[in-house]
Amino acid sequence: MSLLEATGVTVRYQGHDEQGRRQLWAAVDGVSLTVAEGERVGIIGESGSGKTTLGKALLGIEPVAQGAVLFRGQNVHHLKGRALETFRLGAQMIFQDPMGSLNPRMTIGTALGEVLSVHKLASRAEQPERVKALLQQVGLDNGYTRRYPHEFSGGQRQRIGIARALALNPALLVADEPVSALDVSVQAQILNLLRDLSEARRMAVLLIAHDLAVVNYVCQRVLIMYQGQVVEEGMAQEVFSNPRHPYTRLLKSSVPDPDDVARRSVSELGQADQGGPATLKPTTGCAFAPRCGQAEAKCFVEKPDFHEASPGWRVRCHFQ
Amino acid sequence: MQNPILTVADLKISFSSDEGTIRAVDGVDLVVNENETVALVGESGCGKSLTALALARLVTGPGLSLTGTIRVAGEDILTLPEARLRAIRGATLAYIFQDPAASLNPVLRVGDQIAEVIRLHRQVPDVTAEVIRLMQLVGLPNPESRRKAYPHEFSGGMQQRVMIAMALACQPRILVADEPTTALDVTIQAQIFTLLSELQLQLKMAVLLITHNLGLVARNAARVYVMYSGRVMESGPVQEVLGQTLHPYTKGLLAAVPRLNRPVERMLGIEGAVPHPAHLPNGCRFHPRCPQAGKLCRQTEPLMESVKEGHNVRCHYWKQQA
Repeated sequence: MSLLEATGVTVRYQGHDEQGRRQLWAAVDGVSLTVAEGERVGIIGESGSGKTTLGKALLGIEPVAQGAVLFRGQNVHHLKGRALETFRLGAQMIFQDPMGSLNPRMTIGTALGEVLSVHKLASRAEQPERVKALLQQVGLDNGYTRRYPHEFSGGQRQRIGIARALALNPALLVADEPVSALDVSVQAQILNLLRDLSEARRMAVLLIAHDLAVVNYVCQRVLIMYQGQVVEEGMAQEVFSNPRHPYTRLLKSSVPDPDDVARRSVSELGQADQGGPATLKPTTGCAFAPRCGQAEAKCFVEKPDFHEASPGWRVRCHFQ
Repeated sequence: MQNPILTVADLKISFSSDEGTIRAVDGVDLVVNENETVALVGESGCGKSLTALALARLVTGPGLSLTGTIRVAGEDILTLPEARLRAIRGATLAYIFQDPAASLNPVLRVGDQIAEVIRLHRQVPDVTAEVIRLMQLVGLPNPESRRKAYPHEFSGGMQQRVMIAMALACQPRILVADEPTTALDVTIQAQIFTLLSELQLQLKMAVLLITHNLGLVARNAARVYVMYSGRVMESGPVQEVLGQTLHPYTKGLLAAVPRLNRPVERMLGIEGAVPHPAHLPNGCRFHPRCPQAGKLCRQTEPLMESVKEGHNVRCHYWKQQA
């Protein structure tokens, strides 16, 4: 049994169409995914693709209009009381801006201690020891316990966010853009930390990011989202070295690599892409068709289904 | 022989604070030639944005000291009277910044904001026609109607195009782009850079690109300056600096970038953090984080040395790095 199993998850928001009429709009549109114990899965998407909403729906924070999310076989949106508490212990989330989720008037020692006492994971006497151990795990000196959040750098704050999530010994960590606000030298440290902790504790990680290379480095499997739908899913290395969906190919060609020096001219990069995702999806055909360089008449009429192109590799495109 | 449009020599910017003097930029030399794209890279706090702002004397702060020389199209920026400086800002030298929404007035129509720049610097008989031409130039669709829209009605990428239209309104000789696409999606980033390079060819202007992204440097710049803690550590043609890297800091940055095109077993971040500008280390500023640092590095700060034509490095041990 998978640790996390989501089928047909749909989240709808109230929106407006071009004439200003109210309309329900699917921010997440029938997404299915599984995460095994200890597995690291990446979700890639641009702003507005629904990746963050999906992450929240998977943790039961965002209500779903359709579909189900099972965590260890239990539907997370139906949990109550003790069972809900157990789920909250088992699945934790960290965010892009750890400052936003730390109380500015609480020292780090108190903030981490609070987590332990709320969930009755340590007696008051054990607390300082446990806090020290947690900080050590994320590579912070234990002299830091008396400091306030503003006294830390961005990278250190993200380590604190991770330490707080680890305090509950979660089986699943959902990390939403955990390094996009950090400098590259610090980013590498945090990504290594996530990988090491996942290996050492057999903790599953669901990494939500816009940076393909970051996901490629951390995750075994990847899902590419466009306008609320998964358009490609497979093993990260295979998908990134040989993307099948035109959108994934566009993303890959858009990422500038420091090794690019040799192939610098505009024409070689072949950027014909001019569009951006529209706020409202086209009602017929493929959502990516208006932006797709390979689109044919069929793509504007008929919705492509999400099918297996080769074992473990699924693509939502008529031509794959 | 190339003609420099921008020359910066021994630029020093410092502030006073409770903790003492903050030496944010400490002796930067920089040249940008006509029509050339030059990148200034570094991590947060290295002084790259401050250097960019100083080019039009836009730096303010407690106890500011701004010394050295900055020449833009022959004019000595740091000694220029304010009135003359106003004529240069926006006309000879223009900026675009990371967050276009913060630079646009939310209650003015974008067309009026573009028109303001034109009226301020140029004599044009039909300003509206010029606004429409500029909007077309930067690829904003339906300029006749869209010029009447407000900034919030545009996406981030389209807002940045509006900023570029404003920056180009006076055909500047040099465009300073400070992290112009950091807030945008990668596909939109690629579109903006394609646009910038097309416009650069068309309008014959130089671009100084301030960024932390080495991938963007590789794809877009001809030469690069790598800054750390207020100083330039390595500079030269992009192929040299990114291909035959000499400085341990540049090497560290390159090793910390996750790659798509080649598998990386384990990335090596740079341990530690950028020193506080009020408490700079003795010797080389990078030595506390440098894996190759020796006794000499802790005592004496290395000078910038020329390795070969155009490739300079500030490291005692660059010969061992090569």
